[in-house]
Amino acid sequence: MEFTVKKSELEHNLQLMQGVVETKITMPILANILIQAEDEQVRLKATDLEVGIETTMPCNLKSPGSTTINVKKLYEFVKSLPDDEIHFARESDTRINITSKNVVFKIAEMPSVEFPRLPDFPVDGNLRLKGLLFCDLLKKISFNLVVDDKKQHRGSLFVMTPDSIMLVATDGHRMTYIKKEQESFDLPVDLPEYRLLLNRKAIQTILRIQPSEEIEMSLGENHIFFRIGSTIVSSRLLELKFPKYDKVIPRGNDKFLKIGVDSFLISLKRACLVTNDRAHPAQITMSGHQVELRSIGAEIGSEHREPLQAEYDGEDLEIRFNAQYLIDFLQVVGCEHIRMELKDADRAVLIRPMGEMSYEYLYVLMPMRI
Amino acid sequence: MMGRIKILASDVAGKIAAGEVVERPASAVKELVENSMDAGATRILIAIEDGGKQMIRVEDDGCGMSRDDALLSFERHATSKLRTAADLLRVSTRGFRGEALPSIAEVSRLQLWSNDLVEECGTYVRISGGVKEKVEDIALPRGTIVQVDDLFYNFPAREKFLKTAGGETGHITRTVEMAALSSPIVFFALRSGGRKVLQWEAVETPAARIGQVLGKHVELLEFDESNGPFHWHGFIAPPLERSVEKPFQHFFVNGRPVKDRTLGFALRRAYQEYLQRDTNPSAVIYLEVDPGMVDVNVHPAKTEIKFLESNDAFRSLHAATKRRLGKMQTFVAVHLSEPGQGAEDPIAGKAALPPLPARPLHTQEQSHCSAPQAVPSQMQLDAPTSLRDSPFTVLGQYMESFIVVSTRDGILVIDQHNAHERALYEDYCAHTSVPSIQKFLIPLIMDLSDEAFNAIMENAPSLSTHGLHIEAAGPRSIAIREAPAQLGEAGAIAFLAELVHSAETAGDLRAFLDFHLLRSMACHSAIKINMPLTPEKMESIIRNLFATSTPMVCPHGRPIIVKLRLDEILRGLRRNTQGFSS
Ligand SMILES: Nc1ncnc2c1ncn2[C@@H]1O[C@H](COP(=O)(O)OP(=O)(O)O)[C@@H](O)[C@H]1O
Ligand SMILES: [Mg+2]
Ligand SMILES: [Zn+2]
Repeated sequence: MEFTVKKSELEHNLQLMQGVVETKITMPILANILIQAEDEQVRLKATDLEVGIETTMPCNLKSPGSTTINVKKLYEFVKSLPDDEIHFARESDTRINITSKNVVFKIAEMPSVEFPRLPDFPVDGNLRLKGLLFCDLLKKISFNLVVDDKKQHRGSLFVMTPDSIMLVATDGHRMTYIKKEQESFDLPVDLPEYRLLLNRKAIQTILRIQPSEEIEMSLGENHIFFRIGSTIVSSRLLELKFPKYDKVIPRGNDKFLKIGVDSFLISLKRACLVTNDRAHPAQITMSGHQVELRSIGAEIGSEHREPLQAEYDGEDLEIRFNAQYLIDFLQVVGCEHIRMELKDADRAVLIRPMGEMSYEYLYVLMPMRI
Repeated sequence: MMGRIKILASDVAGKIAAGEVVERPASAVKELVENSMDAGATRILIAIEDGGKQMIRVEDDGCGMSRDDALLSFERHATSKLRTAADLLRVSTRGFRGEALPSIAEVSRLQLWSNDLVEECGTYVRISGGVKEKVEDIALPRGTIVQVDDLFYNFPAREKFLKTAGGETGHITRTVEMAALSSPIVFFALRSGGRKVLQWEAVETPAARIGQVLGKHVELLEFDESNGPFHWHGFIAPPLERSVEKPFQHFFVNGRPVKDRTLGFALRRAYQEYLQRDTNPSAVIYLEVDPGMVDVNVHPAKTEIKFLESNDAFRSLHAATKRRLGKMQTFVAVHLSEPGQGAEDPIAGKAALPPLPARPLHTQEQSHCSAPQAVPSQMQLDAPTSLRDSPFTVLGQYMESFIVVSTRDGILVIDQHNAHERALYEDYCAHTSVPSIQKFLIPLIMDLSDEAFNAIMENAPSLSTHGLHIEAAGPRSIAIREAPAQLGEAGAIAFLAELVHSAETAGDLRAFLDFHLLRSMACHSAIKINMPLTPEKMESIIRNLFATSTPMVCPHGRPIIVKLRLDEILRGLRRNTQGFSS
């Protein structure tokens, strides 16, 4: 095995691969990536057995072959090398030489036969999605995914019909819902309804890939696949268990707060300066037309207060939120103003972007106890 | 010459409840060894065959007995140790009931050789099933030998209940251990089937005896403290998780091994307040107290006692233990191997630093005591007694999990999760105000066992005041509607699981709720290991850790700091200390 690749491209790909490889490794081989060199290109593969990633890059091939190398180490090596060509060559049965200019790294390999087989991208039944649009939808719900992988709904509900694409994510405290009408995707009219749970890691991996105009999606027997440019992400299908999202969306909230996204964000970030690591209790007081933001510090006596530029319509109300939860949403909402629909201090608030939007986007947030 | 033994007046006999003295071979050994100790023996040799079922022999060099006494000792309630009922309130010997010898003689074939060296020659007595068969003069050195053959031979009902020889030998070994712990100045040896089971030279201090009995690897914190009528001499395990391999807890009141709930509870509470966790600490505690303040005559086996003022005893031990724990500034210290020792090991890496689990955890102050002579004492004194305000430099992060810090007298390796957890925990404790509580949009449903469900629902009101709002959601499932924000969802589940577990083991939940909850909150909001940190973040974690009351151990009892002392480094590198004094 011997080939030469461009450093910048390899570094970028290795960074992607690293995101898939587990930090807690159960099988040593899973800490490695598979490198296959043939037909003037290098194929890289990594997997944690749930999510797999596979990408190809052009190379200058001397002799074909394959190997597996610890991805973390390889990434550190490559990152440290000058921006140039990198030469890979097998030195002995168990060692690979990585050379750039006159720098040489020698690294131990593990036999590539031990590397688990990734599922193949199905040949037919593929859908073409508008890439930038799809990634935008993913991004708008991705902050709300459950981090705990023991949880059953460790991902986003993904529903696709001939009319629309819908994604819902929740971590138990809040829920994000986004729905986009079909015409913008040009989906085939005879499309069967897809309804599945999209793995959190798969979503995060897709979002880390350079978005392309078109994303090819395909459903295999046990996996869902996305092809983005020269990269394929595969994800084992999870058992479809998801809370009844439509029951959670509050109806009949009768108090309305309209507020500018940018200024609200700045105020909330200020509020977080006095709160502690994880809980950021911030209280919004609406009385008459006055709206005030106040946050209570972790250290006794520390406090922050400021008036908010907002329009309020409803009875006087005081409500407390985790400021970070509001910030998460405001950072991706992508509009000038939002509207918060409130009921009382104990019940869920519904937040939505204002103005002409090409999709339906809802954020349901539960308050904190006052 | 007047014999020393008197038949107890009937009022005394009445005060002593009748009951079985000999339950099994080990109880015979216990009684015989106690007699030897009461006789002032300095050497006690015990030999057994077949777990004591076939033969028990106890040999001592104590005061011995005259012929009259030797014969009288087999009468019921014959004792040289008590005269009147009033004496019973001041018992300072181990025996006093005068029933051991007759009871043992009743159910075995017993032979006794004894000489008090007052009379010309010694006495030999043989009794079978309580019937005297032979009495004669015999030449002997001072002391007594009692040999018990065929224990329970005429008591088949009891014989059936005995364990295997191995099991009985185990009981006997533990009995001898207790006796040895109670009297360090006595030489003890136990042989079974002719083979040595244990042998301990006489030593001067309880500490030395504990070392012999429990093994040298056990490093304990010692205290010696009088308060009120109580004089405590205690040895307690450092409050670290698994600081001892096999847990133990022994109490001796006026030299007598006893079981007492009050004392055990006092220790537990002291550790709990210190560690925020419920453990049964390993300890050996000696109490000297006016015999009038304890009732030892609760049970024929004499292992139970009653304090006349049990609250005072509780408070006194609790306070002494807490004071000792509070004085501890400990690290887990890494000891480099002794010079020369490493050279024999062909694998250099292995010789340099022994793997931690294989070596005991040492507290800093104890390693002071065992520091090699070559180290100038001034350097040891320079060790800071407190981390608070001590200058430090963060050298970096190791394995994305441990913060490496240099201080004046050594290098500290600090577990980043445990360190942060300790600081957060003390934070939460300081503001005992209600934590921030996040309501759930989608209530968390947990299915439980019947017991767990009942335990949780019974405690729902107090859980609610701690920020966990729980409702029944079915016959055996609960819905969590609100939880402290610091816990998060995973944390709430973990916390409840822990709670369910302690409901099953501890019974009363309320007492532990505070500890558990604040601890869980701290654990779940603390940074994890395997996480890169900026230098600023590391600096602030260390500063906050050093400002806590207990920087060496996390709220779960796991150590936080491993310390490599400068003198150890110098010794390991065979450098002298010149130019390195701080
Ligand atoms: N090993 C011994 N050395 C000297 N005296 C002994 C020894 N064993 C027993 N005795 C005497 O025999 C008496 C009776 O012993 P025992 O039946 O155990 O009653 P107790 O120990 O309660 O007095 C003791 O009080 C003691 O005077
Ligand atoms: Mg006795
Ligand atoms: Zn802990």
